[in-house]
Amino acid sequence: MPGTKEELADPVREPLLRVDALGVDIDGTPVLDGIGFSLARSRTLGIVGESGSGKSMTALALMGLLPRGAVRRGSLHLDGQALDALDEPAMRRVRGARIGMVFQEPMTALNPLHRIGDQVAESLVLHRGLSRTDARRDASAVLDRVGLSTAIARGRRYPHELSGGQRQRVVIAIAIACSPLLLIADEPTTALDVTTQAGILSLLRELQRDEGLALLFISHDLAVVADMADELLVMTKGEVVERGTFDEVFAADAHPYAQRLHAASTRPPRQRRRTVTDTPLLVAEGVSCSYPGPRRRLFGPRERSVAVKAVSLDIRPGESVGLVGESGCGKSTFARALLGLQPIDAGRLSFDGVPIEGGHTRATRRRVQVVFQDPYGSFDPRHRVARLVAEPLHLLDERPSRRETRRRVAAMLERVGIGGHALERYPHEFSGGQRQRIAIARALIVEPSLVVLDEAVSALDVSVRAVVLDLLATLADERRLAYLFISHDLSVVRRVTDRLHVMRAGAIVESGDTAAVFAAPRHPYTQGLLAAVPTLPALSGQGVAMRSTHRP
Amino acid sequence: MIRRALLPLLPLLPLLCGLVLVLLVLGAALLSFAWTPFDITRLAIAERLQAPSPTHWFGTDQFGRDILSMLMIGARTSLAVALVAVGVGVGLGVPLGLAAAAYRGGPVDEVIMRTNDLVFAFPALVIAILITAVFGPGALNAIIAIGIFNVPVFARLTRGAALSLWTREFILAARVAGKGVLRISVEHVLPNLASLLIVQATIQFSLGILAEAGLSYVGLGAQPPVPSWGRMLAESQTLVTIAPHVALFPGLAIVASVLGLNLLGDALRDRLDPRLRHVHRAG
Repeated sequence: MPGTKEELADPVREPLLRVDALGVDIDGTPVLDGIGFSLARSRTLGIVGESGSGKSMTALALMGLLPRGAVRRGSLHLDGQALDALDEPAMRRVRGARIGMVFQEPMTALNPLHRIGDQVAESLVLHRGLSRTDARRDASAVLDRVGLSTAIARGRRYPHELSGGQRQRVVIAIAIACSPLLLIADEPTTALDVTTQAGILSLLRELQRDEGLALLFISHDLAVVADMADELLVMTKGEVVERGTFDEVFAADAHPYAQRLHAASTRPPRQRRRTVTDTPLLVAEGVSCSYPGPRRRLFGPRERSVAVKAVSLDIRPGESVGLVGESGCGKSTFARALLGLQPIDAGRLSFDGVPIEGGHTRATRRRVQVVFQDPYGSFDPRHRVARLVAEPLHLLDERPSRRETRRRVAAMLERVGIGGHALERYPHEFSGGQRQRIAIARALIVEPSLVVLDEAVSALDVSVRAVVLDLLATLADERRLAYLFISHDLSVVRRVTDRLHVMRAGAIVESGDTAAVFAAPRHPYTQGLLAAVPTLPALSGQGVAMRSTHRP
Repeated sequence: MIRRALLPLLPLLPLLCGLVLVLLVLGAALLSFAWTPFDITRLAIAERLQAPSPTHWFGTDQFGRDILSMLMIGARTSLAVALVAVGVGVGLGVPLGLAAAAYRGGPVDEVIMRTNDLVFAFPALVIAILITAVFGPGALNAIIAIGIFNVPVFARLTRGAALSLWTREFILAARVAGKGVLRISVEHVLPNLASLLIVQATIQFSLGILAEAGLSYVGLGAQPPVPSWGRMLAESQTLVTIAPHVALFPGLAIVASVLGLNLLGDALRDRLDPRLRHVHRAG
């Protein structure tokens, strides 16, 4: 019964959301246990943890959107209403009207076949009972509120006509259309570029300030959460291990897992020894690439959209060069041109003196390999690991025997830290970080001189990222590898590259030694990029002292 | 308690039903090579149009032949024609579709797809009649006629699914590993299409049985004395009011085989995807 509690209820700070002993069992096994927290209006609670820690499951449990076969335990109260006692029809009235949710992938959260205005209007029609016309008008107002331009706010566009950041704003618009009390944001900026991320985060803060929203912010990125949240929960394996402010949660006497998580986010990766000679391995001069556009005329040439404009760079043996830029700037297209997968319209591209003209010769192809971003999509799901890692071996002049192949694959897998038992397994049986290591094994098995890392660590959790980057540094030292490190994540690029190039709209806008570019960026675009990167605040050391009074 | 034990088997029900039906039909067809309850070449007018009884389980037709025996031998025809027709469709259609996808946008793609469209544009039955009129009626020509119409189905399906696979990163990885178009199509694209093709094959198989029945119905399929379900239906048309069982059982045979194949196809597709199989994480 409320009223028996001792705490002084501050009318402004009284908890809007109260969760006690929340747990979820799937087929009898607890996947979430003992989750308890409270959240007041205009406050933000951050939930951090790695993939699989149960953060998203907590959000789904709050919304009553658990998968079939899952049983929820514990009590949930929103603004005095007991959510755990509601049946599905009643819960449906709560979703959208009192709780809004923003998901990670804006493209899949929006229906590709409906205009954005209609998608926002949908919840208004549903919860407020407005007519179609009124709802559309209000929807435009909401779209305007989330910072979309007037043209887009009219709502007549389709999701695929918008950029990732614009789509995420539409998703936020849908979530806040009915002025909910609570907004749950599950990794809302993970799929976005750094500058877009900054925009979305500031929008969320603004909305919270203006509407008094309570915000539940879930992320694996400590820097972002530190920026957004008043209080944090650290979760692992379905349980909360730490709770408090940023300083308290990562203080010296905090739970070991929390400390490890913090250390992984701040620890600089191994620095590789820089061994550089003068003759460049890869030379690109004025390289341009384009794609054919849609067919507008029945006959005649199609318009071409230029993806890469006159890019010039070189890579020497043994050095790490970074290529940085936001989505759509052409860095992946350039990487494909390097790999001989994309024809070049103009300029010269040569590897070790041999020109690459739309394709490598057998000899040079062996020496340039790649690790892709998506650990899920970069493997044929029907092949076992042994066969996948051995694939490039067919480039060797003397194909090794079956036994020799197996031996080499096993040795390579051991070297990247995946045991020999992996040989007969399928890729989907491994975690993201493990799959990237298998991808590295595949890239290195033919002993290349240059490895193109196309956003190779972007899809990984922060702690796993550190391990993979360390591995890459160690391997580079052992084998004198050159890396072309392509990424939109500046904080990663800063730590692992010697030189870098900043790319924008197909052209390179700035180049130089990494340290120099970070210290004094010259181009305004670079300056803007650097300013948008969220940084982890230093621990103040006060966490230890505050703990003793606030520990629940 | 029995119910609780049986409950987890519930999702398997379609698979089991499909399997049972298909095995029943297949079993009957295979058994007919060795033995049938009665000899169908022997006409016994005195015993004609008998209702189902303990001696003749499905009754007799207008010539006194045992219907069950006729169905069993007719199963051979239906299954054989449908199977070979699907084989033709897959054997020609899948490589064409793979080639069209591998060389997408180019002349190869255009030629293959436009030819496809051409074949699709013609009504199947008219072409089948044309073929059998020119080359004579019979099971072989029925196979060719039905097979021709399976080719564009598989070509289009394969091309569509292969196109989306070609943009995936693991295909890029194979290209970086230096593999050529043919090798990638065979080693990577085709296996990933397998489940899709198998499901379509079972659908085409069941359609083939219907098509064969249709051709036989108009007299262009397997010729007498080879029994065929379709012809049995045609011949029973006038007798439906006096002896409905003569039409009922061939009809049921067609329904059972088509239904069984469809159920089996659906269940197979779910099972063949390695990601859907229950596996333990490697940790």
